[in-house]
Amino acid sequence: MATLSSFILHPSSFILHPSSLLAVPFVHPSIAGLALLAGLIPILVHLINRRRYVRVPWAAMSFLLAANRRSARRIRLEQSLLLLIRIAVVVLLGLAVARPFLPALPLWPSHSSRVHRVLLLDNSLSMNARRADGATRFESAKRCAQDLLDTFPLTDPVSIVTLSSPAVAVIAHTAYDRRLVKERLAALQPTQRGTDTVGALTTTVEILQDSQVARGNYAVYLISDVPRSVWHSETTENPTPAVLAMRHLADMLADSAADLTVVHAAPGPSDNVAVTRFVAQSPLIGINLPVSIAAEVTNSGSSNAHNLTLQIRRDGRIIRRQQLPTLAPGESTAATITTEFSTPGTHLMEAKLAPHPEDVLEHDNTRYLSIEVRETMPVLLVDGRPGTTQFDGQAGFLATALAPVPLGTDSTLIVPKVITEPELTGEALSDYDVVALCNVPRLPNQLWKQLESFVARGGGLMLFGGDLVSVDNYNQFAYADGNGLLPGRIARPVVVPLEDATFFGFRIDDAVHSIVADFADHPESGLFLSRVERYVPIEPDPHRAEVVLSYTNNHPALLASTFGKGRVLLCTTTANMDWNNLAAKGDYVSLMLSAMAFLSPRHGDHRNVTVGQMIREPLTPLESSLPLRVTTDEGTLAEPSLVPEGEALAMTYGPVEHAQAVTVSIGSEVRVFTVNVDPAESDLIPIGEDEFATALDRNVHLIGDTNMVPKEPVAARSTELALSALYAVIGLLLLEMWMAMRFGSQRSVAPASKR
Amino acid sequence: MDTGRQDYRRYLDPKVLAKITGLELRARLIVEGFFSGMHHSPRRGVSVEFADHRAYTQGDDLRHIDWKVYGKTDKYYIKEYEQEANLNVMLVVDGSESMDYRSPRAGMTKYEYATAVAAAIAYLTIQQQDSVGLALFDEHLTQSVRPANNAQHWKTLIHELTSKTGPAKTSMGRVLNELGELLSHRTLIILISDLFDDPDAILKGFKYLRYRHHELIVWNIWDHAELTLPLKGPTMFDGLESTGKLLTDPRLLRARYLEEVDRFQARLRTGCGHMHIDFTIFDTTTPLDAALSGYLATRSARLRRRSSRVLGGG
Repeated sequence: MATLSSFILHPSSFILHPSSLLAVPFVHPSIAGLALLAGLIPILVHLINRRRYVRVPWAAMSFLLAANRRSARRIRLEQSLLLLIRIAVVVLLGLAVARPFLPALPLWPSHSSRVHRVLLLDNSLSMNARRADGATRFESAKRCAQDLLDTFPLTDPVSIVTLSSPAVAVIAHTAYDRRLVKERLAALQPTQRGTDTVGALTTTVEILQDSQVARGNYAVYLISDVPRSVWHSETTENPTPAVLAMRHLADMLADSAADLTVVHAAPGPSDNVAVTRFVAQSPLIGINLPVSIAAEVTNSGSSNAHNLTLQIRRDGRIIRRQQLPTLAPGESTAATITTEFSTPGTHLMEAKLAPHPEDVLEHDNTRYLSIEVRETMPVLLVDGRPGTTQFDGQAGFLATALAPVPLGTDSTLIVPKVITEPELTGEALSDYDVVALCNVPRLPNQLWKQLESFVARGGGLMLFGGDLVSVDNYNQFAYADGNGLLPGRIARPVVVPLEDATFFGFRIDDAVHSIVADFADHPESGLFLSRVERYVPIEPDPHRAEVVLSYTNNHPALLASTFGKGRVLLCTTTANMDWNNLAAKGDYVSLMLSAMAFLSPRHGDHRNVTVGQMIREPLTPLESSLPLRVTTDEGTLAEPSLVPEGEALAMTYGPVEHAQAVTVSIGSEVRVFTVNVDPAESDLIPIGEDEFATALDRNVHLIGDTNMVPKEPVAARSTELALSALYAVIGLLLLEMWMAMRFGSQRSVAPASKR
Repeated sequence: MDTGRQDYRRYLDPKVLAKITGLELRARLIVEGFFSGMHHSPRRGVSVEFADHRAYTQGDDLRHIDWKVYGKTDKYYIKEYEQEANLNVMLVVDGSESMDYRSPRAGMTKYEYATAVAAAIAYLTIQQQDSVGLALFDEHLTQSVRPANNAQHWKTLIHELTSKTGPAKTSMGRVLNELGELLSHRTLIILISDLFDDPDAILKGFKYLRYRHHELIVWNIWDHAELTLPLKGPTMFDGLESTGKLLTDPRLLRARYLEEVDRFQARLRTGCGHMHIDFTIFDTTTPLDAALSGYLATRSARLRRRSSRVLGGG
């Protein structure tokens, strides 16, 4: 028989301070304050009534005065009593709304008051894992929740929160109808979504803050597989977000002497191997160009994984079947394939692990990848001094590096176009993926703004130094006090002293950037052998600039930054051999291609989403008018929705609830989208009891299994007084009516005799 | 006939009568209304009324033998008659400020009610060949008209009743003393007032008048609101005759107030009873024939006591 282990978090501040007994606390203290103020209302009404009298002439005044002399004291007493009762009625009514309660003594808990119970049920992907008894973790957790529900007194309000991302309060407001709670609980199903533990705990805090029961009468039950990846913190000082949220909830409950029970729904070992990563290694994917695609397989189970076979499919056809090495628990292996695509458009790649009998979670055995194969990547090179031959200007060198074979050849992806600075005005920047400014002297502010707009929409911009560059123009309009495209403020070019020139070159910064990652382990490469004679010093913007490559004097040579959706690269030396001899090295081509890959807009990234997310595809005006259709892996056809995106439209579909490839037909064109599970969900290793206690930094008591989950529900710590206050109000109202009648307002009096 | 009687009787309702302007017309309508409700009219002339039979004795006037009785019994019986003597009536009407009070639901002020009753009594008295005079008072006797008996005199009385001077306080004890000194002959005094003064002083004044052998009828006039205190809510009572102000909720004082009124009325009623004074309370919603019939009953009783028996014409 499988068991559930439970952790019960006991609040530290369980013993009441004597001073708290002197004052009755309230669920809504602010209303209590208002209630006391409302006690002034009867006094104000009394005073206003005294001012709003009717003036009548009266002849039989002597009798009235005599009656008043005889009754004045009695009337004053009676009126004072009535006023006091009315004040008490108003104040008590307000206090009843404020819900007062009496904190009970620890050894004498109240069994008559209600306890607000919140059930947090994990229904994320990992809860689909099968246990040894054949049931899924979720089925076990739901049964545990139902058992707990049966132990709760029927008068106790219950809320239910699910943990799958985003966390949802299935019953946010307290439900007293136990049948409804059971129906909602029974209707809950496991999902393939990730876990939103922080959201669920935050929601719980919000629910309890709005709770209508007396403070302190709370009980929270978290039923989850308690994954180590969520709860493990290296040190108590650096907790994970989930631990922080749990501490916050625990502290809130501890303040009010309530219970927090954590039920582990999947104790014991479990085996799981998953494809945790499947990506193209370069964003520059063209027709018939080799592209590397890497798959990562991870053993997140508790024992070694043997005989693992990985299948790679391209557009549905198996192109590789690879035997993987044995993986120890927690170990990963990567399988990389190189393939080519012969047609442009989106293509589906699929990495799938062959079924394994020990694997308890199947949903993470396959990972999909949508790849966009482009026919060309247009790049605009603007040269401040173009020259007459191909290698006179900076742009000539760069164009040659980017397109080493003649244009029109099948294997050419990048299509550079060289123009002069005056020609830039007439170019439509949106036709290009990347724009490079090579030794461009100055640009009017309007052109800088156009470039900003181009980059903000996702384009790439590369800037090179040169003797023509106007430092003032760049700083004024391109840096713009940190608000522009430049990742820092530049200064006048520096000439490397002659005595240093022999040794002055490039060095890779400590944090290896993806652009230069291929050079990192090759100190003999041409990049590090090249020499630099002159460069533009720059003071990097610490908030945006990322130094990719430095000079040997530690001054930045290549800086990257983001601007809107796009990226910017600044090379502080020239793109040709004016200031350095890098352009003469073979690695110059690799470096520039890497730079283009970095700057290239991520055209297809949005087509790879996670379970629970929406599919979204921007449409051109022509595409918006074509018939749209979505086909899921189950063959389901659906009409997507159209939503505005900027000045155009986008189609949306979803959220998609399980991992699959989805095709979207736009007219006759088909685009592939992939929906993958959150790889964090594949980690089924639970956190240990001691580790959990250490992470939470709170007292944790292990209960053991399902049978040790308390059968007796947590007793209320406080006694609610609202009902008593209402009874008192009714009593006082009856007393007031009786006294009012008794004191004369309702008394029937026979008129004076007429004889 | 019945319709006409009914028409006149409605003028006995103070609310209807209040719509009639002119005290003279009011008085006539009251008297018409009063008599149209009776089965016979005293205007047939019964100043000498049959009283009883007795056996004939020698010396009796043969004209008074009842021959119908002789025809039936064969015995002589003499018819006895009561001879009405002339009566001096003095109407004493309170003209103080407290008599000007009228509650919203009342048809007329206490003074208007009092003058309507007084004018009607005066009219009726002159019709019955009696003499009637008038005294108006507040702190003092302000006007007085000696009793007389003619149509012009009635108009004088009406004029005096409608020419009340400005508001003033009441001083009943002093007024009654002045009245006693004013009247030299035995007089039937009809005092119409709310009597809002010290009851002891009032009773002392009554005692003085009785000592001077005057007959006294006291009609104590109240507004209906003064007898019930029907007001609700915070009320500022502004006392007439400068008796002060009081802000109170009348519902809280009603019981005590009515006790005070009852005690006042009981004190006067008891005191008047001891002095054989006819004391009657009216509120201004009471139909006015009650005053007239009360007056006639009292007058009849007084005359019976004072009249000499007449045997035949002797």
